[in-house]
Amino acid sequence: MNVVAAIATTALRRYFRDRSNYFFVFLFPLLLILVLGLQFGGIPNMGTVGLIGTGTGARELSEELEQRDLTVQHFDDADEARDLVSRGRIDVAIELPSRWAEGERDLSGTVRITPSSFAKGQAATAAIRQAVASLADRELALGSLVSDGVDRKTAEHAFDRLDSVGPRLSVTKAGDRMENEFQNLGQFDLGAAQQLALFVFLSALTGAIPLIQSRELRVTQRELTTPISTLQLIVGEGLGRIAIALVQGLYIVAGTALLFGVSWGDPIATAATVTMFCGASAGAGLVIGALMDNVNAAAGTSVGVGLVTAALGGSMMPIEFFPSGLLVISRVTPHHWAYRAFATIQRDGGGIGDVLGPLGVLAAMIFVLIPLASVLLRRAVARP
Amino acid sequence: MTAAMSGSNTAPPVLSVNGLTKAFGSRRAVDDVSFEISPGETYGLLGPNGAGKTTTISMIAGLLKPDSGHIRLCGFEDGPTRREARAHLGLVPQDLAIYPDLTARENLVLFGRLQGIPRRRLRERADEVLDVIGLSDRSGDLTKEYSGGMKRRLNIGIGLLHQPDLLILDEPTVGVDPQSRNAILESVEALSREGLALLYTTHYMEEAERLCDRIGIVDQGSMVAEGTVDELLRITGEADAVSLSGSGSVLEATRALGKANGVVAASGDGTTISLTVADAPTHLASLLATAAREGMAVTDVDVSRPDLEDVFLHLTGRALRD
Ligand SMILES: Nc1ncnc2c1ncn2[C@@H]1O[C@H](COP(=O)(O)OP(=O)(O)O)[C@@H](O)[C@H]1O
Ligand SMILES: [Mg+2]
Repeated sequence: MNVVAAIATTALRRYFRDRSNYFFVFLFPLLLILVLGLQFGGIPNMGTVGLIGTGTGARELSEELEQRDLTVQHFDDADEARDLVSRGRIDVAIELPSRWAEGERDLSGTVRITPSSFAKGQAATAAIRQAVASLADRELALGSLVSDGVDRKTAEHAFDRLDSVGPRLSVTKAGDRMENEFQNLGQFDLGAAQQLALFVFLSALTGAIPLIQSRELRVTQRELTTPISTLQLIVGEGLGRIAIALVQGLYIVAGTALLFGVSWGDPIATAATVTMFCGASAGAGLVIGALMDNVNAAAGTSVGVGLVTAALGGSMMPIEFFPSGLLVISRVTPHHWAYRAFATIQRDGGGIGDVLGPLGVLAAMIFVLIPLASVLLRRAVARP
Repeated sequence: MTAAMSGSNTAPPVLSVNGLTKAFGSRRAVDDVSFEISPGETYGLLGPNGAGKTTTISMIAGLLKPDSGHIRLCGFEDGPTRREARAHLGLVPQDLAIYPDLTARENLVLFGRLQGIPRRRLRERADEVLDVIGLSDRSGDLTKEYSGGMKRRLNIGIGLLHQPDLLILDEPTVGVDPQSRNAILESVEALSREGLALLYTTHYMEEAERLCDRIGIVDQGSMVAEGTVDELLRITGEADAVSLSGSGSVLEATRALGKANGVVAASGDGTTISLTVADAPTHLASLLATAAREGMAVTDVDVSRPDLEDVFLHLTGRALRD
């Protein structure tokens, strides 16, 4: 244990001796939090919707959407709205069937929803579907009252009174999981969890670089001629990297919670998830560091792998929107399991007992990656 | 320790290497190399760049797995694969193996902890080593600020820290200035005097001659000859050339010396006698006495011996240094 500690503390000492690393541990996560804050704004905002048309039907939908914390902008030109979506200026464009938009009680036709490819666009789409469904339900109910001979005005009045009398019965359709999925989630909560995974993993992957440098310096080779095992060396290096990743991860959790009121949920479950995710991330960094001999190539690979796994693991688009094939592939990333754990903790108020599954997978990743790195390092030191 | 006694009266060797072989692809970097080092002995591996010295050492230190062969290290039959065996070994690698962004003391403490030296003892021991390598007053400076010679000394210090039974030095003087080089050679001599067994590799024959009790000459992975310097020099079959200059009865002296012990051939003009002598150092005193007895006043003596360079040339047909 003393041996492992000696290697871990040396890794940390060397890391923090390079002053520029203070930036990555303490300042960069803070900047990241600030950028997140700006992106989502201080007030909860599910996204901005471009609604085409200005008729009664459009106005009704607009009210429904605003009730769901979406910001609505009205457009006359569908192309203009879609163009803004593709440029990321608004999150979704909605085009109602023209008769509905004008206020006719005719729900036939298709509602065209054009979301941006960003997480917010996807999440807003879920809220829009809910809003449209709710309007449609109301219209169906009204329609059946009218056909039973009730005057439309009276029927609408009755519905409006129903609203103000409350408690309102919220009906969510079974089978459309998506509607429920993000309900207990401030949008900022999702983004913070996604960014944490992306950043911590990326940062941990660059832990490959000091591992390669130690080999270039021939220190690794010399260490392996002392009475220590390769596994001890890898675990020591790994613990050093996990400590750095943990500081970054917990810093992001604390920073977003304090500054932007992100609700991370149960602290123990969150800390456990961050820890296991840091472990798996550091393990992946060690594997790259043992596999590759060139620092520049390793840095490039780390960034590439970091971004691709982040995308696959739900750090860019929520995995709920993944087609099933992609969802299967997604499971190889630690992000996927961290995402699922965070989802349980944040949305369902889950505790540590509820996330043992995803944490178990992350633990299994650690137990595969660390010995793998050890074997690869043995080979690496035999190379000239 | 599970010391395996091989001989009955002699101490077992600290290192015994048998039939060691290692190929990289089709190239045999080390080919059936065998040798032994007794306690207190300084053993040299002398050979040009690429001869396989570092590869041999890497196998002895457990960094490379031999293709075949056997290494017995400090009594451990399975050699450096046993962690306890590696604790008896000190390695000073050919390339500096220190962290430039740590101080000398931090480097020493890291390796001391890996060697399992208890904390308190380690602090004392680091001080002792810093003293020995002459870095006490710079021990708190980052090693990247050190001169090449200082780094080399620290590199050696790390190998000594845990007081190993065998210290391996892989070309410790390569790339250092003459002054530092001499300091390194002197400290190696001091270690040897203290009774430490040393394995010293070099491609400088003067270093091997100066430091080593026995030398193995390696070339292209194979050990081509082994022995003390004298034994190796004898391989060439070349005798020493001795020339005596002076005045007096030079011709009489020439005639008498031609019949003297150890002299193979003698010739002389009026002032200088050229002798071919089988083992000049042994016979020089009696040769000078003979010349004096014959009435020659010797003013100048020149002995030129064949050196290891000649031995290497003789054995391989190539020069040691290219
Ligand atoms: N890890 C390795 N992979 C492939 N070839 C190697 C490796 N290490 C050494 N060699 C080759 O083996 C030979 C012996 O090298 P080395 O042991 O370093 O020689 P020396 O130390 O005597 O200069 C050289 O030809 C070298 O290129
Ligand atoms: Mg070498």
